[in-house]
This record gives sequence, C-alpha cells and structure tokens, in this order.
Amino acid sequence: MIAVIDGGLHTTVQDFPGRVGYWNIGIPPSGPMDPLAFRIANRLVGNQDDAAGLEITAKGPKLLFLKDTMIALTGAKLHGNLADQEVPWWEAVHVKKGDILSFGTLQGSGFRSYLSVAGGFDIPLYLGSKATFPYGRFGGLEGRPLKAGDLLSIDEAKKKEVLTKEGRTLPPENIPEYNHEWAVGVIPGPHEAPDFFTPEDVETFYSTPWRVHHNSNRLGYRLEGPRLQFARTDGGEGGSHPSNIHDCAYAIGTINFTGDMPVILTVDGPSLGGFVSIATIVTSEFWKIGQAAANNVIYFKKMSYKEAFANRWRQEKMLNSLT
Amino acid sequence: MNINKKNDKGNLLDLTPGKMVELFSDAVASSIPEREGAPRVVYRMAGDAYLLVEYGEMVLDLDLTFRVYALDHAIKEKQIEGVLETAPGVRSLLVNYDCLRLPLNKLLEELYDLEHSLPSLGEAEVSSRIVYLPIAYHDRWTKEAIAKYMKSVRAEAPYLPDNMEFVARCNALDGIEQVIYYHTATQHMVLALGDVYLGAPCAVPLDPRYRLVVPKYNPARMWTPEGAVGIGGSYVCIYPMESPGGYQLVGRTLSIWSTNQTSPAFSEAPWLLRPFDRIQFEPVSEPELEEAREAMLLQDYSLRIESDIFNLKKYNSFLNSIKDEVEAFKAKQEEASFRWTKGY
Repeated sequence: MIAVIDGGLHTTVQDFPGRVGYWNIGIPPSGPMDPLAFRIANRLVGNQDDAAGLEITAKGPKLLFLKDTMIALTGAKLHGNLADQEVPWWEAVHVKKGDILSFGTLQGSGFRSYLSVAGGFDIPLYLGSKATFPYGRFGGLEGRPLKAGDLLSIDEAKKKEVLTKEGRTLPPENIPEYNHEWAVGVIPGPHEAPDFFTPEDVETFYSTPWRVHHNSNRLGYRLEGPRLQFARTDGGEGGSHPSNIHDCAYAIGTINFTGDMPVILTVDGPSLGGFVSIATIVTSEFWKIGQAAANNVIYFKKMSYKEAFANRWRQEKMLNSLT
Repeated sequence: MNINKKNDKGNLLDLTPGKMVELFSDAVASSIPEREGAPRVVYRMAGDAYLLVEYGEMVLDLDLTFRVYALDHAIKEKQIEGVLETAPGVRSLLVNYDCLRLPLNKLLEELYDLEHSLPSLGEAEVSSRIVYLPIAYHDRWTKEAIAKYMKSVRAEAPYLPDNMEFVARCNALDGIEQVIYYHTATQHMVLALGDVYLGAPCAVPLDPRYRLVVPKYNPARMWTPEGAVGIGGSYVCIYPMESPGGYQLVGRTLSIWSTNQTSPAFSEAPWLLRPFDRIQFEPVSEPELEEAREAMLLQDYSLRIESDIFNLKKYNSFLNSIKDEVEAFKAKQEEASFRWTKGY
C-alpha cells in the first residue's frame, strides 16, 4: 500500500497498451504517453507490460510507502528523494516500509516520468484496463489524477510472482535521449494526396520546425507553424474548410489538420472526425511526443514502412532483453 | 511495382511470403479499381500500426457505409491473428494491427481475400432499431453554452447569437419553427460512433429533403452540455459528456452514455446507440426533458426502442423517387449557404 501525501501536478494510474478494443465506440486507449519509458519501468521490476504504474507530469507527487517494495523510475528525470537519498533513475530500487518518496524539479529535458512497483497497482478494471481517462471520468483511481489522501494498493499476489533483483539497471546505451528538439519519424498518409495537400504543403510540413503549443495535453499536441495552402478551396460535402472530409476514424499519432492548426492526436484523443491527416507517427517513435514539453520543437522525418518495421522490431528486442 | 497485376491466386498483388510490400505511393499502400457491384478501394497508410481502407468517391452514400460494415463484420468473423481492432467511419474502415505479428503485405493479402468474397450490397438488409429520443429544442442549456462562448471566445460570428437562426438562414428556412419541423420530419441514421468520444453518434438525416447542412463553429466551443444535440456539415451529433465542440446547437436530449450502466437502457453496455440505429427526435418542453433525464437516472424511464430492418435497395429506390425535390432543395440550400457564410 502507498499513501499519497501530495498528488503532484497531474499524476495518473496507467497501463499498457491501455483500453484497446473500443475505438469503434469512441473510447480511447489512454495508457502512457511515453510507452517506451513506461514499459522499461515495468520490466526493471520484473512486471509484465500490463502492470499498472504511475505517469507523472512535470511536478511529481509525494508518496509514503506502507510496505517494503521494489520500484523503478524512468522517463524525464526529476530531482527525486527516497528516505533523504537521491533516488536513481532507470534502475530497480528497494523501498522500505515508512520511506517517503518526493520529487523536485525537472533536470534537463523531457516532460513525463514513470513509476512502476513490483506487482503493479491493484485497481479494478474498467472495460478491460486500469488506465485513467480523466476526461471521461473513468479508469484508474475514480477516473481522476491522484490527490492527497489517496491510497494505492499493490497487487500482492502478483508481487510474489515477480522476481525483482535490486539494482537491475537499464544498460546506458538503451536510455532514450531527451532534448528540446525532436526529430520524429512518420509515414506519410492517410491523406497526403494531391486531392488535399499541394506539393508545397508537403514540403512545408517536412521542413518546418513546429513549436509545441502550451495548450497541448494527453488528448492532442497542437503545433504552431506556417499555414498550409490546401489543394481545395473547401471541404465539399465534408464541410466548409478545405481540411474537412467525411468522418473517418483516426490513428493514434496521426497529424491531423483541424482547420488551419496541425494537431498530433495522442492516447486520450478523439477516435472519429472530419479532418484530413497528412502523416502518422510510427509506433517506435511515438514516445517522443510524450516527452515533448511546451515550446519544444518538432521536426517530422519521413520514414518508409520498412524502416518503421525494422525500428519497431529492434525496440521490442531491446525490451525483451530486459526480462 | 506489382500493383493491380493479378497473380495465380487471383489477388491483385505479388505477395510472396516475407517480401516487404512495395507501396503504390508514400501514402497509399494499394488500391483496387471499381468493379461491377463493388466500389473502388484505396488502402491508405496510417503509420505502421494502422491501415485506412477507403471506399468509393468523396460523397455521402449509404452503399459505401454498408460496404464498410460488411468488411468490418468479415474481418471480425475471420479472427485474423494480429488484427487488434477496427473502427468504422462514413466511407472507410480503420484497421489497427500489430505489424510484428501481421506484416503489412500479409494484412493486405487478407483484406484482398475478404474484399473479393464480400457480396454485392445491392440487396443488403441490416437490423436497424428505431430509437425515439425526446428533445427540448432551443433550450436554456445550449443557450448557456452559446452565451459562454460569446463571452470567452468570440462575440460576433455568423452563427451568433442564435445557432438555430443561423441553421434556418443557411438552409433557406423561415425561422426556428421550421428548423424544428425539418429536424423531426426525418429519422437520423447512426453511421458511426465516437463523434466525438463515448458512443456519440455520427448520424445523418435519412430523407435528403430534410437534410439540414450548416458549417461548424470556428474556433470551437470550450464547453458543451452533456446531451446537447448539434449539426455540423450534414451530420447530427449528441454530446455524451460535457466537452468542447464545434457543431451548431439546436437542443438537448437524454444521456447517451452511462459509465456505471445505472439505467436499464444501458444494461448491455455503457453506450446507448449502435450503428444503423435510426433516431427519431420527439419535441418536448424543458420541464418534460428534465423529468425524463431524472427518471433515466432513477431507473424508471422506459426508452421507446423498436426493432426493425433497413433495406438498402428500398431506400435507394425511395431516393430515386424524390430526386427532383432533393435537387430543388439542395439548390435553394446552396444559394442560401453561399449568401450567409460568405467571408466565413
């Protein structure tokens, strides 16, 4: 059991891959914005991918551990204190009953941090997942971020099953690099076509340093940059703006034009809408969006399906080497 | 490139196992031209985990929507290893797959097979419930949303201060009463769910003589009440929760989402509506709506739902029989819309 002394800025219970299977109803998967760091955290303590952990945003919570346990912290590095000692990142750490874990400010770049506990959190499933979707007020702990006074139970049965070795660390070459500028791999489409975008639009899209708008969150990342011209003057039957089409389902990680502003649709995003998407972020690179903070710069880098496949395969291989 | 070249299996692409697929263009994996009884198919890339299967031309045509659901059904029946889930749109189906278990060329092979096995949909029938929803038109809740918008986002716009007056103007109608008449004169068919979030219907008026068309807000509202009914383009949506939104608001109805399934209407799932449901709006007063909404929470409201069949061929011949009227209405609409949204 863990007692929450302070919830932090926006700390939520998440699991991976989240609430998959209801996209046709309009229920998003939720889950971690940086699935790479989240999955590493789980594997460091010996958990499976689907064990529920915490996603911490910029300002961490203050937690009191009521039992001995093993934890791992990954993602954006915060100044962290465990029982008055600087807590290491990317490593399994033993926590004793009565220890307090608290966090200070972010060190360097990155935006979201992850905390896993051996066994994962014991929280009821909603539609097959423990992931929090605060916008719909379900999942996680009462469908909301953590607050002072909350109690988080650890799955004790699972905890006995997992074999955690204190001090298990991620090899340094596998620690993801965080920066203020991100080159993010995308595959063009679904709507990069002369019907919708001019060749100049496509050129602009790939050459622009897009700036992350401060009003970006788990629903979507808004990007500031030049206006595109669009190939049409209106959206025909789909609507009056040239970015309008008949409603279609969106891919998570697609870069969508809702009117003039591009938005990256993320894990709590909408499933269906009537706007064109110029390109889609590949699975192995989506984590970069989770670590991009407001005012960071994003460049989109065209990737072939072959490259995307190979990168995905390498990433899974790296993760599997941790278990 | 081997696109559209039939191999000995009758497929349209050389799909030697293990071979990486050659893309048609960067954004399009493959396509199948229009055939007798089947529309053109375009397989659009959506990253390495999704493929968007798109049918026909850029028009609203129920034949295409039926095809989307036929493919969706066929994919589910076949239980293809590596397909994680699917999500239908108006004329497209999004397929979410795990490329490590099901590489793109294998997925395309499966989809080609299914495409060639789908029956021609000219005779198709689907089960389609008629769901009667009470609606309070021009109600105080949606008026509050508009007032908030005018205060915090934009004070002047062609659709302000009254969204329904704007709907009337854009469709060459004579004021709010006529908007209400048109909105109740036709059933609205649910083409997809999740527009936006939690089972919200993307519904279209079935009788095009009463199909109101209106541009969306620009920029969007920050707040919309749960249960609000709006029109955007030619689609009608019901908001399942308090949320931002861009549709022109015309009224408020019952809750269509219940997280804890507290009412009998939600005994099967937290969402009320299903694809191909036909919504029939029935005007009520504000107090009547409040009463119905409360009764629904207290589990003693019986929602009127009738089971029925929808026949595509009959519908298409109905459309044929009213062709001239529809064209006349559309011409009037277009003229009015041009006048009232110029400089929008």
